[in-house]
Amino acid sequence: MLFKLFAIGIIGVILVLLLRTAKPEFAVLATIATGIVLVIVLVNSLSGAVVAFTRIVEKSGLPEGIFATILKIIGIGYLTEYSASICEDAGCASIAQKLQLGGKLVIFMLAIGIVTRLVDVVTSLAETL
Amino acid sequence: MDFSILLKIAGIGILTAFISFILKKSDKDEIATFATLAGLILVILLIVDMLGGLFDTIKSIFALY
Repeated sequence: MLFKLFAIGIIGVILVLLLRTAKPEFAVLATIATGIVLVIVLVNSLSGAVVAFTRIVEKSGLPEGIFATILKIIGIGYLTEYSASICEDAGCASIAQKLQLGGKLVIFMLAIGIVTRLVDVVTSLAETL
Repeated sequence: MDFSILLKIAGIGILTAFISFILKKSDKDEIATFATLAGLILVILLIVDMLGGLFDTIKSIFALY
């Protein structure tokens, strides 16, 4: 699986260089396409890991909402990084920064839920003492 | 599926470059721009379709609804 990844990456880079001389617009589209193909190859193995992780969390007795939010945050973080790096490749770093800012805001909104839950747990502990 | 699409995109890119080069040489510049545009739109459609598929898979894995 790993070698497939390396092969696709190298072929993609070669195509991008080829297209950059002939038609620069296609080079950006080729980088996006290589990114997508690489991620699709990766994502299949990732889903197995996520399923195993959910089973561990269920056994550990944590409230269900926390792990789902953490998974969401990981997903959002990954997608933001993916699209920001494509924008940087295409040469517009300012748009990439805007995307990263947006991703950070969304993650912050999600994290607020966990922080309030943490505060509740702490306050309830303080009361019992 | 996986990397045949890459070769397709590269093929379309080189073909459009070639066609627009020939059209420019036979001094039909406006048709050359149309040909490049057509090639570009074709590739963009392919990429948008793949991007949609990618976002759906990631949404389903990380439960990002």
